[in-house]
Formats: sequence, structure tokens, C-alpha cells
Amino acid sequence: MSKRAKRIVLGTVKYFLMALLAVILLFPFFVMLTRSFMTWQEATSYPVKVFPETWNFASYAEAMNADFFVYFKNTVIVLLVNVVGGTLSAYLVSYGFARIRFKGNNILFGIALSTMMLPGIVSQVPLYVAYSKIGWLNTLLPLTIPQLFGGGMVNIFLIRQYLRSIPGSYNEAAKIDGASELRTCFSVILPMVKPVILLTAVNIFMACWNDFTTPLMYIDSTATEQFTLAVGVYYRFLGAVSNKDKAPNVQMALCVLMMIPSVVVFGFFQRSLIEGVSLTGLKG
Amino acid sequence: MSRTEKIKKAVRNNYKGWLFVSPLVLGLLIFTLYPTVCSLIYSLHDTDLVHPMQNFGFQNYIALFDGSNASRLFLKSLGNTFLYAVIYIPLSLVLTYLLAWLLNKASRGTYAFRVIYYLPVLIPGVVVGLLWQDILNVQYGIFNAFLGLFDTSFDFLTADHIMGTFIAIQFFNVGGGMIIWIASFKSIPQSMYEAARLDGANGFQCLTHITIPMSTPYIFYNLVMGIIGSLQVFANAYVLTGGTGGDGDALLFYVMNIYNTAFDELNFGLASALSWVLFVIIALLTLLVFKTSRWVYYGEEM
Repeated sequence: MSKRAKRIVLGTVKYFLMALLAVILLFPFFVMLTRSFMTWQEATSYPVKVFPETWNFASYAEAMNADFFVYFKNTVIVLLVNVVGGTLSAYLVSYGFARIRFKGNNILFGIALSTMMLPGIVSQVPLYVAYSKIGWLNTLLPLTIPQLFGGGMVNIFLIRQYLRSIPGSYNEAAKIDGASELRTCFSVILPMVKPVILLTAVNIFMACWNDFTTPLMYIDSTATEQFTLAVGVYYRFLGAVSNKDKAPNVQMALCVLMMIPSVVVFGFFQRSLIEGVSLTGLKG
Repeated sequence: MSRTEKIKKAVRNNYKGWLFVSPLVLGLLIFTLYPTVCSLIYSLHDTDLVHPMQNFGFQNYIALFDGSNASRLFLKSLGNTFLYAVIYIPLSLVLTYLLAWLLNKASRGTYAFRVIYYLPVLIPGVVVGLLWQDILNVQYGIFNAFLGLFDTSFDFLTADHIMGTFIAIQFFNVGGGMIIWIASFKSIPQSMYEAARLDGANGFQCLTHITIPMSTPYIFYNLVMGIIGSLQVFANAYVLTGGTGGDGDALLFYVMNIYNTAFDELNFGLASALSWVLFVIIALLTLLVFKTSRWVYYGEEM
């Protein structure tokens, strides 16, 4: 076989495999969408239907009951605090590490990084006891307040790497012009690192929207008023509650609804998410 | 200079930095150090939410090996977790790396493929559980509808099959790992490839002699994060099995066992002991990876 023919065959095989993988990975979305438009009878019929006979929105109406909006409101509150507060906090801390010389800088950063090895569950159990003592259980406080203290080490690490790539002369120039540290931080440096701040906000949004573990731990199955969507959906369909809703079409409608915010945010920021803000200086 | 002056000077030179990082310092003290110390103390006592701590001793650690139900669940969940980690970490590292390598070159449709591969990463854990329970359902699930055409059916969620099923489901997240690799490839200077091409290297040689060696810091990072993450699998498995760990505890992961011990049985002492054992395992494995990291290439300047 000539070199050219070989390359064409190889290329075709490659595209075929990649397309196959794409079909496999899109399959869950296909199931989610088609079944969400079915009636209960269609969704549970045998032989199994692949497409609904008529595309009806009844299951969406059923999915969005009064509880849904309560859970949604709670989720939005948690999201707002975490995205705004968490990002701001992560930026300030990263700025301190990357742009200001002080005694203990490196040691503190090393200690903070090493806490990533500590399994979350080690602190989660005693925090449950602590929260119960100060009346935080079954409130949204455990889901929001901790995030304000640094916004997570992964985010601090990422922003710090970025900040370190900016020459120190910017800080010196701002200092000579008489700008305070806080002013330099927000008026001089922040505009230069907007992309990574945006990426951090998106990462926190996704993590928070998907978070199931934290509300599961600190909000009882009876405190329905405080459910976020993740636990609300869980207890409605999967948890060990006797009157579980078993309608597959409604379940799939809720799945679709829960995907919408993630997909919308992803749509807006796909470039930076997909291209990846390159972690320059992971070496350091 | 007197002592007080020295202190004053030290404060003046350093206070700004500490002020900026103070949220993290407070956070570490309140939400990490304090509960970690508590956890250690709990693990050495019999304690639940109602009764005060009593009976100082190592009974919670001994209970993990004494043949009781607690020790059975401990060993079962540890075995499940290791099985998962041993299969999932290497396979996902290789597969995501391969995908990134294929999609790194800017050929036609590359970007669309990246987007499609990334989409499943956006599915929230609770949706993953709901969705796959539906897809795999023996009566009305679409997989068994297909198998029904051949007059057969398959229960994906029995004790023998559920781990394999779960690992397959987890592989829908390949896009997440893939984009980290793609980012890492960006930091490799193009001039290296040009030089290699001039010397007559083919694509495969470029992969093994440039791309892989140059991305070893990221391989190292992903390996460490993979270990830490895989040993703490929780949400997806919890939702898929409704918190039970599945038929015959076949999908009972280590952290699920801790969760059930703490929040269902309210045995905070035992749960804390289990947490500390996990911490020691993770720390030892991480240390092992660091100690054997001579293969990581940090560039000439280091």
C-alpha cells in the first residue's frame, strides 16, 4: 500500500472510532430527552418505546411542582453566595500568595496544598457535630459559609499560577503612583487575569450546582424546606422514603431540567473550558 | 534595635500579605484543623451525637479487624474501593491521554468532538444515578429492550455485574481528563516537534520522545489526583444504589461505609476511626508516588 493510501485508511478509521465514541457519549442525552416527552404509559410500556408517539410536555409540568421551586430557590441562594463570595475570596487569597512578599508565604501555601490530601470525610463528621451544636443543621449555612474562606485550594492554586506570570513591575509602578494594595489588587491586576477569574467562577458554579454530598450530610431527609435541587430530586425518586415517585418520564424531565443551567453556562464559556486555561507553571 | 521595635518592623513588613490570605488561614483553622483534631479524638472514644464521649482507647480501630459486622463492611468497602481504583485510574489515564492526543491536532471537526466528549462531564451526580437506573432497568430500560430482540435480558445491577457497570458509567467522564491533557500539550514548545520532524521522526516517535516526556508533570498531577479522588468515590455510587451499596454490598465504597456508619448508625467514633485509616492510606500512597517520581521531567531550568 502506498503511503498516501495508508494515511487515508488510518484517517478514516480514526474518524470512525471518534464518531462512534461521540455517539456513545451522547446516548444518555438521547435517552433523557426522548423519554422526558413520553407519557407514563409510554415510558413504562413493553416492548420499550424509543420515541414518544406525540411529544408532550406533561412530564415537565409534573416535574415542576411547588416543591421544585422551593428547591430551586434554595439552590440559587447557595449558588449566588458561592460563586460571588467564593471567587472573590479565592482571588484575594491567591493575590496574597502570588503578589505580596511576606514571612511564611511559601510554608503556608505548602501546608494549605497538603490539606488536599486530607479526605473530606475526616472533617465532615465532626463538622456535623459542630453544626448541630450551633444550630446550623438543616439550614443553608453549611453549604455557603465555608466556601467564603478561600473558595477551595484547587481554585487558589490555579489563580496563583496565573498571577505569578505577571511581572512584579506592575505592583511597583502602582505603589510609586501611590495606590494602596487593595486598589492595585482590583484596578491594576484584576483586569489582567479576568479569564482565569471567570473560569474559577464557572468551576465553582458547576461544582456547586452538582454538589450532592454536602446537602445530603447537613440537611435531614425531613427538612424538605431546605433541600437544594440535588437532594430534593434524590429524595423524591431514589431515597429510602416510602412514597417514592416512580414515574420514569417525570424523572427524565427533571434530569433535563437539571442539565439546562450547566449546559447554558458551558455554552457561554466553552472556549475557556475546552481549550483549558493552560496551567502554566505547574512545574513550579 | 530593641525587641519591640523588631516585632513592630516584622509586623509592618508582613501584615499585608497575612491580611490577604487571612480568609484561608481562618478557613483552615475552623473547617479543617479543628474538625481534624476532633475526628482524631472521636476515633479514640465511643461517641454519638447524644451521649458524651466515653471509654478512651483503641476499640474503634480494633473493631475493624475483629470479625464483627463493622469489620466485614470495612474490608468489603476497602476491597471494592481498591478494585475500582486499580482498574479505573490506569485505564482512564491512558484513555483520556489517547483522546487528547488524537484531538490535539487542529484537524477538521476536532473542536466539535472535544465539545461532545466534554458534555457528559456536565451531568450532575444525582442525574447520573437516575438516568442509568432508567437505562439499565430490567423491565423498561432501553438496554434490555435491545437485548430483548435476541430473547435475552441482563441485570446490570446484580452483585456480580454492578462494579463493572459502575466503572463503565464513570468512563463517561473521559472528557474531563482529556481537557487537562490538551492544556498540558499547549505548554510544549512547537519548535521541538519541528526539530524532530527535520530529523525524520514520525508521529509515534514524536509522541513517545516529546509529548509524553514533556507532559510528565501533568501525568504526575493527574495520577496523584486520580488516587485521591478514586479512593473517595461517593456521590455517583450512592445515588445509583440509593445509599445501600447495592446488592451484596458490591458497590459499597469506603466513604459510603463511613457515611452510613456516621449518619445512619450514628457511630461517630467508628466513623472517625474509618476516616483516619483512609487518610493514612491516601497519605502513604501519595508519598509512594512522590518517592518514585524520578520519571517526572521538570525541564532544564529546574
